[in-house]
Amino acid sequence: MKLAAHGIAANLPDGWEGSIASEDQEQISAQMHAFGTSAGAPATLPVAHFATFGLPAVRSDFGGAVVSDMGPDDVFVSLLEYAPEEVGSELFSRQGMPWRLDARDFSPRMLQRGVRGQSGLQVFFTERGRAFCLYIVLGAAARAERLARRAEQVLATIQIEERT
Amino acid sequence: MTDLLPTPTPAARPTVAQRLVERVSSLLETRATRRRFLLRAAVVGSALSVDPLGYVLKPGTAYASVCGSANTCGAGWSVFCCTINNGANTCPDYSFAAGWWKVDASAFCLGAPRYYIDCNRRPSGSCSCRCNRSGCDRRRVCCNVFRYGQCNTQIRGVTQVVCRIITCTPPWEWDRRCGRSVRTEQATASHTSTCLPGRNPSRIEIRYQDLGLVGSVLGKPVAKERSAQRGGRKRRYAKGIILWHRDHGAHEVHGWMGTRYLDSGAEGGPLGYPRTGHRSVGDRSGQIVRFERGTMYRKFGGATTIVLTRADRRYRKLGGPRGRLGYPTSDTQAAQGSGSITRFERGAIFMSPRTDAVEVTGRALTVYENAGGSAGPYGFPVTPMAKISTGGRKQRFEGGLLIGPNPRRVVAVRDAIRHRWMGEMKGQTGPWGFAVNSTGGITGKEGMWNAFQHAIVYWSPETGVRWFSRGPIYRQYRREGGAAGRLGFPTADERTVSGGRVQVTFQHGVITHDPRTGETTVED
Repeated sequence: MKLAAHGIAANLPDGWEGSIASEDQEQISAQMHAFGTSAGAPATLPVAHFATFGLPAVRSDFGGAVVSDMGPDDVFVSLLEYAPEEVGSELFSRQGMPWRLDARDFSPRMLQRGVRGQSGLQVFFTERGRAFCLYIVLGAAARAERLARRAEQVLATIQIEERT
Repeated sequence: MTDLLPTPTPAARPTVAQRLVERVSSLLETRATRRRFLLRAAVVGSALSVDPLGYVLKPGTAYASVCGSANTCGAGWSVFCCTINNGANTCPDYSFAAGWWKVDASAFCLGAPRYYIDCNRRPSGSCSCRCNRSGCDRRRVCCNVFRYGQCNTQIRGVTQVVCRIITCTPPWEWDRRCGRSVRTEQATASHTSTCLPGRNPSRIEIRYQDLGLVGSVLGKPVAKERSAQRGGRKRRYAKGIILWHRDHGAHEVHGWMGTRYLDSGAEGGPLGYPRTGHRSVGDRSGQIVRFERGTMYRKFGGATTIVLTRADRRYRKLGGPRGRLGYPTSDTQAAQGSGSITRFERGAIFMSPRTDAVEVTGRALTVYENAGGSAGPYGFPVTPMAKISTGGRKQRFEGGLLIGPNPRRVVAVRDAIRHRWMGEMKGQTGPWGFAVNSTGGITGKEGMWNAFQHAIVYWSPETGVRWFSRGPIYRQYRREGGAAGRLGFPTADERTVSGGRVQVTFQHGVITHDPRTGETTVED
């Protein structure tokens, strides 16, 4: 299955689901306006989700609403873009997407939400002048080696275009 | 209830301390001591008061009704900062704001987005993973190595989330070091703690929360929220006050400025309700708070002053504290002549019911005040100091003019003399030239005089404005005592009579000068 939106494309291997979406800027601004805040508009940026299980409509950007339902052989990948002004900052100083994964880098502690048995990895980087965070959750820490290879399969299909 | 940390793996085996925490917390969860019984009874009471229908009708625990879903350590989420930080909704010292997410349409923020800001361990700080064991917010402390990544991106790396701050203010406005990249996590919509405001809070509760609760500059509340004038609300704290009015929102005033505001009558005083919180002056030399009818200014190490209404608008138009007037050195206060004056480091602003708020600065202010200021013959300023097309500067007042070749050499000319000078005599380019001194009075008589580059001018109600050249006639007139002497005021301008002689007629005599002989005579 091919996905492409917001300058991000992926050709999903069999057994993977995915989506590339961005929140509705107008809707967010309207909510803030209703509260009477004078703050400037937030930056709504693309979020790509790839998973080896059925993705529900509501899943949260880092998958907080879905990871508790993952099976031990499942993998969840979230690729999130950040505002252009973050490019060049220390946090995003790593250049290039981490196409290759080392199972030893995954940790049960490196999770947005600690779920028993799971293991995670988070990497901030810059690719083609765009700031990103890659966040991967493995269904079972004990199967990190095999699941990391599985995650690499989907990463290998991701293409990021320069922002126009 | 499963209050357990993640199962250890070969990739990241928990430490002995972590295993101990897990074991102790499990034991505490099951032991039925008197303390635990009382604690649970208190939580049930809180649940009934916070969410009675939810607690009675829906399956779940009292803890969940008070602190929201997934409130246990085993649920995997991080604790709220106010739970572990003595009630302060701020990052503990050893942590920093590292990123945020939002929950849409939150009842905790009156239907607006609610923001959750993670405080992560500083790279130089230390903390160890544990489960919080007090109250109903029993989530994780310093366990999850994770970063949302929109705040303080000058700090590299990913460290443990110590705890979470809650605000209804967008994070990029709450802290300028937070970016605007939106992240959403609806799964945390019900998460809360007993130290945070409940659902449908008042605007004052929200403002206090966003400032940091007891960790804010306001300190602890010292009174209940109550009604204020014109339908507003207010609440006092140890170090200040928050006021809300539907036209202006909820804003705090604290510290020196709070004391001055309360002393001036708060919302019932001349300032009215606050329209902003404390804002830094651009060069960080002080702070300001804007109100309905003026602004309060505080210079660090200096005075706290109140500038009101039109004077404040004019001051801000001139650049405020960073403009040419500098900081205020006095409140806006009554000036003689039914108007007001506000003094600044480099000038003053005057206003009256008849005139706009106008600044007077530098030498002009000295000259004006030496002439009596607003209570004197010049009254209030009408226009600011402005350039004259023919060179020099001038400033109009109700009763005259301040004028000079440059701002440092200005003099004051009263209207009676000014009218003739600027009209018939064509001002400084005419036969009188520049005024060289300010209009002076005549001892013991109603009248005045002014010296110009090439002329001496006198005015009295009986004689009007009369002039003659600076020279022998003027010198003789002075020897005779001038207008206060026996000759009195001139009754006509200088004129040339027979034989080329020059003559000036006074109320009680005539002075004649013959340029051919150099002789000057006085006739009674």
